Amino acid sequence: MDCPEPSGTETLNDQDGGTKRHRSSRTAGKRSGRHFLSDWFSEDKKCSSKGEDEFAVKEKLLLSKLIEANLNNTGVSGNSGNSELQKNAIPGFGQLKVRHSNPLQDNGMEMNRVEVTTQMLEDNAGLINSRTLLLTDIPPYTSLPAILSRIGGGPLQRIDLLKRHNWETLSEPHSWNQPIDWQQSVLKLQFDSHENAIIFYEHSRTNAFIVNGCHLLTLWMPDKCTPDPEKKGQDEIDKEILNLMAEPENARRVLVLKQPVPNKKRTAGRKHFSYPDPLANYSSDFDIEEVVGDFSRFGKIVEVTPVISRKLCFGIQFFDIVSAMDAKHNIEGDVEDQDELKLEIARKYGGWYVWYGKDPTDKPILA
Amino acid sequence: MDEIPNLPLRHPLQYQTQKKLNYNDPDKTIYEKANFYVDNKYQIVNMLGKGSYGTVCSAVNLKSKGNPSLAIKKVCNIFNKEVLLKRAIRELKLMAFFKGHKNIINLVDLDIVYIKPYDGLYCFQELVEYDLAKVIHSSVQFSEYHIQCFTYQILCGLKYIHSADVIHRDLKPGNILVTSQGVLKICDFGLARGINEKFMKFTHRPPEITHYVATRWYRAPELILSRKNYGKPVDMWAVGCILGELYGRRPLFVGDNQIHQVSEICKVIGNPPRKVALGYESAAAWDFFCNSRPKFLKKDWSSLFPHANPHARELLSKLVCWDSSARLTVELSLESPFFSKVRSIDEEPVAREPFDFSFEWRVGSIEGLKEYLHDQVELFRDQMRETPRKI
Repeated sequence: MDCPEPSGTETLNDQDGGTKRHRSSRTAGKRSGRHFLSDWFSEDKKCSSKGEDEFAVKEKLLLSKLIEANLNNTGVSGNSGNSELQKNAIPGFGQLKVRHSNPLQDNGMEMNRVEVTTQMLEDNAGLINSRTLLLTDIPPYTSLPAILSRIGGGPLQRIDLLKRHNWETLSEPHSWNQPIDWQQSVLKLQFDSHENAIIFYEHSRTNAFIVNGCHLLTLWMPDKCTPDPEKKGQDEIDKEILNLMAEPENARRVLVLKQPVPNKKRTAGRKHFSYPDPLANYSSDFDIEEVVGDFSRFGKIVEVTPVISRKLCFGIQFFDIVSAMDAKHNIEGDVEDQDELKLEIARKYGGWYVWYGKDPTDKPILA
Repeated sequence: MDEIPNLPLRHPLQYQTQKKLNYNDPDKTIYEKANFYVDNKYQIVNMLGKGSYGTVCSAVNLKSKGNPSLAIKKVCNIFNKEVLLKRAIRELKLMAFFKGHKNIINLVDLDIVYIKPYDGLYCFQELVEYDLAKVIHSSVQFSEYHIQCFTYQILCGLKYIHSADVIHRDLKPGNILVTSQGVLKICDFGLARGINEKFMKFTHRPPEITHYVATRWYRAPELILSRKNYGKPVDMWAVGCILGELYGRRPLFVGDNQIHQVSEICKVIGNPPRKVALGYESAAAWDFFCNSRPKFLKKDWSSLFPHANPHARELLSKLVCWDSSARLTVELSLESPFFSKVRSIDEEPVAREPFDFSFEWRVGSIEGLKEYLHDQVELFRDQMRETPRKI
């Protein structure tokens, strides 16, 4: 078990980067990739028989399946038997296809990756048109806001922390400023569209995507990875959410709250520069812990930001857009069957203007 | 460049000749107002600022989806002044080294132009709406949470910088950019430098380090009064000044000159203890503190900032203090109870290794430095386009 996962990522990168740039190095990278992926599976058997570190094995298996699926979507696999896949190959990879007609053709015989992938595609909507990406290899001391500040392409419907070994959503409540154990977790990003996910995905494959000096690994993921019988209507709900993310509602995960400050003098248009009054421009009755407590009722919070405004202003970024929508409607009073606590919050923030703020990931890629 | 006619052409000069031939390069565009010569995927919008170091313009990238805005900083005069050339290399290397931290400005691309009058190093960075000076000195509404968050973010950025054994040396509100969402980003590494001994040249005399750094109002007293070596505490003094400015909404110590600056400091924190004053080992310090000048007594921070959190006042007194060895380090400042409500350990990463500044003495001549700069620009550009490989 010589640290198999990092080298696994190397294989993947080798295949992509290699095929993109150097024809000569392509073969070498591919060969090692082959070895590596088969090693994973054989190791899987070995390890489970010994009963060693089951989580690590599960994680590797999951990751390898995903890597396989990602590779498969490079739009090749003449032996996949899935014409759909060939036609709609993931565009990030589609460009590869144009340059190198069949970069992975030799890999087909090595292992039955088609089965793995098609199974994934049957179980789920698949990776085609997926708007979900998985970030892994995240080093310790990396905050969610730090990661999200480095992401671009478009707004996110939601983010989730998943258990690294089975991709189940972490059930423990997330407290916004508690550290995250990245040894045990991966980050799922659900974009608003496949197109925007591609924009970020392509950027994430370059060295320009660096968080605190480290490059994180990004993989495509099916929009739904575990069929959940309780969430049968999820497709319809998602559709509705996506509609609300578009004009005119422009729903976002971020909610901005503003409260006018009474008796505040206008400073614009003054003839001579003078420093602002330290007391008049300072609100002493704003309690961040109370705000976090109140808004946590609507869902998990990523962070609360001090917004720059002449009014007292702050922003709350939720994990899930539904939390922001819920909180907004609640404060605006257009929800019917509310519980007492939420009614109380609605009363408390009645004097505040509420609207959706900009998602930190809703920015174009610079270079 | 005129002084070295007989030297064989090194590649930056060759590059220059090449570029001269391509003066009408169809891939480049000229913005006369600021003497900018950039790739034509960029459209210059307007000039944001001009200083001794160079010019900053805002631009849009027409070729990238969504036409993102960015700031282009052109560092000028680098090819005829060795100091400025070194400064440009330092800035480039530090920005590349610190890339990816949320509280440090993000360098996106670089270019180097040799044709006059457009010559210089072009740094392409993310464009940020405000700087902290604008935010503090306008009627932006603050809460304690705003001040906690702002100071905390400065400290997080500075912890990353100090962990690489780099001192910024020019921290001030004008060099801290602020997004409309309240994210702070430290910028301008023109005066920063590495201090890790591993990369110092072995000499008998201590490494030369200039004392004329930092904008006067944020300059630590040891920079003004002593000729001895200084270090990370000079940045912590500046953080203290900024914290005071966040509460007072005006700079804490506004000196018109060096001496006036010291007396402004004395008016607030009193005269230095005798031991500190003697420790400066300078005639200036001796004159200032041992002559018949008026003695000042320490003022109470609570009278200056009655609305400030007591923890903030305590932090302030431990940052804005004479004795640099007693000044809080960035790590200890982060431990202050003032940040208990905003702190998250995950926001406080450290750099993976100390910053290697050995080029400062390894590369000698101005020609060597030019070549080095050229290589560094190419290296950065290649790295950004490359797919990373993991070990």
